[in-house]
Amino acid sequence: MPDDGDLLLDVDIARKRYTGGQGDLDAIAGLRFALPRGKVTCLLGPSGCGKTTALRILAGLDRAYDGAVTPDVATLRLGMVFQDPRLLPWRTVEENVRLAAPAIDDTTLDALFADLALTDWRQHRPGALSVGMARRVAVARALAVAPDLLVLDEAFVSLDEQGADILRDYVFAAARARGATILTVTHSLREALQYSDIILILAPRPTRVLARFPFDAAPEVRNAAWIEGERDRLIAANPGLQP
Amino acid sequence: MRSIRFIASLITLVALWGVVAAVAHSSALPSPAAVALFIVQDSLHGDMAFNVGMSLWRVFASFIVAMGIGTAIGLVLGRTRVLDEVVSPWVLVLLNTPALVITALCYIWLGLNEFAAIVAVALNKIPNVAVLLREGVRSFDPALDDMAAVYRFSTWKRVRHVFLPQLAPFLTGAARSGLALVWKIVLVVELLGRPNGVGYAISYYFQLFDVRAVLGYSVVFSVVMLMIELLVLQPLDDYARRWRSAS
Repeated sequence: MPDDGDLLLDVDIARKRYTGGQGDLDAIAGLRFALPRGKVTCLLGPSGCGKTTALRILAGLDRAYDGAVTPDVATLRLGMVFQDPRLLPWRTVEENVRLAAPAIDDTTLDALFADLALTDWRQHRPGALSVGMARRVAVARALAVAPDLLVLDEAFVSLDEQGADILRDYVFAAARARGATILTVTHSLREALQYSDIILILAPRPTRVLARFPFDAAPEVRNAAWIEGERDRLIAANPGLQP
Repeated sequence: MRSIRFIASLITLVALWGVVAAVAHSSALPSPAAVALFIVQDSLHGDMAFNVGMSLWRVFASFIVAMGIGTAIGLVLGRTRVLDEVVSPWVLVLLNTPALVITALCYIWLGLNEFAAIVAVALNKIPNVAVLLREGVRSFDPALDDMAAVYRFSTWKRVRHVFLPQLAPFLTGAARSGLALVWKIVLVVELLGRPNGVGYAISYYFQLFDVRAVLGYSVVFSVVMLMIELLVLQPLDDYARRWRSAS
């Protein structure tokens, strides 16, 4: 196993149980992993296995579980891109970003909007934006806080393939350049292989880590042939994986 | 164009009234001109200004009390399920108790005074505001709550930028429906137990079978309430919902 360096976060969720009228349901049982500082870790697992539940716990949004996330995520600057953009519809694009990142200076914000092709839209409200633009605003908001930890919860779904590729390239490059640690959740093995330093394969519900695959190949090495080779290797090791 | 249609509609209503009055030719239905003449005369030489002023004061005071208490109750019930389960039946009982019963009981328990009148009107409106605001709180988007938590919004920032904009349409809706309800109940309360106000005046002229005066007071008070609705509450409502249309 390669040296992961120092760790930003250690996650140990012994159990997360939902209780309801139709009986109890264990979403997570023994999910343990660590996030090495400055690396991209990807959670890969089937739909409904508990990935989003894990992210909510990790982000401090759900504290009703057995286990611990150390250090408390409240001590970190957190940026999160949710499955849906979650913008305040009554505030402009710029206000949405500034509310999350009040300390950001004008120059940095101008550059961020320019990079994400949002300059012309900064005074518009989210209702005027396309899905893709709204997603870019959510990305701008997450990067604007200069996060120690950037959490991407299927952040590129419902985008056309080309738009998603462009946004992915930008987000991972920008976050790496800022020294952020990234935790991403995806269904796409190709996306996971393209950008991740570590892939954690999760079991169906109640989820736990089935396998951990570290990758130290540089981004420029990760061409189509490399991705295909690694994909075959992962599928051979985990027959349940979807290509 | 909308305002032209509105004015044209009112003129048509008055014209229809004039035609029916002319055909009926009865003291039970005076013409618009006769009513207008009464309004002018009573405004200049009678008690109309004083009575309308007293009714407006009662509307204003009970409206503020009802909105304040109703909003507070609605917010608490919307956020606390257990309290909602305990208090909701009480709200439901109050909501379905006739205004006349509440008014009579307030006068019996608190005396025939101004305080009892304001309490009676407010009690009639509070459950309505509480229910509307409770629904408003329940409709809050939890996804925005999560976003605010992730980005460490302070309590004040959450209230101002996340909660209030979601609540605003319910607040203005409660205010608009509230005003319409409150001024009608104020007239009943005045009729039953106050020595002045539009309700009292209508009761007085009813006993004299002076339909011209009854209609005169009704028209003036309705117009004043309509002005408040059009010039204050509707613009407030438009402001609260402005982000939906102007992106």
